[in-house]
Amino acid sequence: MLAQTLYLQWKWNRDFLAFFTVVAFVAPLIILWIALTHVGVSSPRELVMVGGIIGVTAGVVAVLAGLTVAWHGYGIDERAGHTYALSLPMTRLRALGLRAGAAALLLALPAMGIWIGSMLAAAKANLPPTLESYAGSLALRGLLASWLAHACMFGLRYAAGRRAKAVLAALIILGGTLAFLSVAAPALHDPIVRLGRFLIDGPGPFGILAGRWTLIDV
Amino acid sequence: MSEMRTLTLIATFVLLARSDLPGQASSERTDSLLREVLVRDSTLVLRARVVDSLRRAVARPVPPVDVVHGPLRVRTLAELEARVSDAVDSLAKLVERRGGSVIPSRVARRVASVARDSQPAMFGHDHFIAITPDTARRSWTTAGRHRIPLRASSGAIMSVLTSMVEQVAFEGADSTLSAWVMVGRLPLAPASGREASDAHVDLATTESLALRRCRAGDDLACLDALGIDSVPGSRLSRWYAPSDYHSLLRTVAPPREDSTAIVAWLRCRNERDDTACRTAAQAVPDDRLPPPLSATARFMVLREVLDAGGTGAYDRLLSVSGSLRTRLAAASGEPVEKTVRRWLALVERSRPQEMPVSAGLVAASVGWAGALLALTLTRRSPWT
Repeated sequence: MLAQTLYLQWKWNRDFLAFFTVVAFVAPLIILWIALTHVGVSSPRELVMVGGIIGVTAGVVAVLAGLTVAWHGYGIDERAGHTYALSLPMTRLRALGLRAGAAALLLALPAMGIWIGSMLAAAKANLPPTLESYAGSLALRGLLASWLAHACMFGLRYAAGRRAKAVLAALIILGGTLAFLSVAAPALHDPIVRLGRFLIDGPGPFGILAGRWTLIDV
Repeated sequence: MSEMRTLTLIATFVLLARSDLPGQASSERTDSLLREVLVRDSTLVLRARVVDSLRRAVARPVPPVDVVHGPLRVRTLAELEARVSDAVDSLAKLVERRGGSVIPSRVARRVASVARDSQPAMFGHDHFIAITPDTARRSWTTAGRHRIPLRASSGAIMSVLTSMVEQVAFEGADSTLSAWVMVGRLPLAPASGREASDAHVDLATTESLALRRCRAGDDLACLDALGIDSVPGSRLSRWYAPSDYHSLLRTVAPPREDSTAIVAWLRCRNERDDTACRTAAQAVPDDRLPPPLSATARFMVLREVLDAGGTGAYDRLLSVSGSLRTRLAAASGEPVEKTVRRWLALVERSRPQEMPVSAGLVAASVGWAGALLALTLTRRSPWT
């Protein structure tokens, strides 16, 4: 059944997955090519800066891949009135579990794109001995970030159903309001900052997104 | 203030009432009187503000609680006493660790203040702890004042007080030492991991001949790069090799009056022409060449010197005459090369490990994603 779900998920998302995998593969090479040949980057400090740009780009691609796979998968299912899922001889819990698992497997493709593209880019950069390339770490971060983004969007879509857009809008408004109140209402500043730190620091839910994203570092 | 204004208004009206104003007076007269009242009223408001400001400048409220540990004295409020006392106690131990007479005497001349303060915000008031370095100064309400959250821990208070005491302890240092240290502070607190990793990044990303030699074990090159001692030759030849000129010229430019050098500088930056880079780099005056290592590295070396020298090291650093190298050696009680080698080993060990993903972070990230999915899966609802 997992193979069947995986095939279905692939059929639904292959265009987007191919797009994100190609972008993840090509982005490090293009950024480095521009930096080396057009901007004239050569010093270790500049290479670290370019590595940071590549890292952030890879992170954005990974997150977008996770969000898109979850959003698009649910969209196709919803347009058909969930008839396919309802026709399967299994519970909703099992069907969704298989779908999430299949998406997690497919999201390894953009991460592999990041890994291979980054390795090629780092080899092309001819790094000085004081610098190192972190293609593997960057790809792993990308994979974890895309899983997390997928889980967030998957949860939103399947838990909120048709109200997903309203819930998403409410979350965005809530975030904006909290950001405004943290500045305008000093009494709420500390609790909001503590909440933000819990969300993005170290082992927090979004800790993987807030860490360092770079291909080249000391 | 409002009483004065009320009195002024009453007095004005009484005067007006006593004068022979006809019941059907012309409107122009009434308007002019009203204008006069308003002018006098605003003048009084301004004068009252001046008086109030002068009163505050002459007699300022000082927090009532006196916290004294060793040479350190801090005024604070009863509600903050416990945290401030902890902070001052820890700081006093740092001052005591350095020992000698100079630091305690300089620190004892100041009385810092840790008090609660507030300022209006859009919604309510922003309450915070205001830490000022010295209550005796006229400008203490603004100069050097630090703000930290009202619920800040004793560690946060100590961190701010340490920074202030480090500055106070370094005040009055001679120009040679001040120019070398660059940051105007005396290291009291132990080195933070961040400081050492910053120095490591400096060491690893700066293209400099002196740094490469230093990392290869050349002590003289280390001393030269740190500005402690120099070897013969111009700074350009000592610090940078021709292969470093291109990256050097991204941070510094020749004087604008030297048009030939400027043209060469542009060609070096845009076309990476080696001859142009050489021409431009040689046109940069010696005193404008950036040192290979930042002030953080020097600050760390000074900490190593004082740590090695133990009690009274700072006194010896100030009292001994001679070159900087001689003074640092006298303060630490060991050859400077030994201190610098220890510093270099510390920096080399402090490679920042920000990029490798730890197993804990992987587990946490997978765990949170799994928890989100589990919440969705266990929700008992129809498909839509």
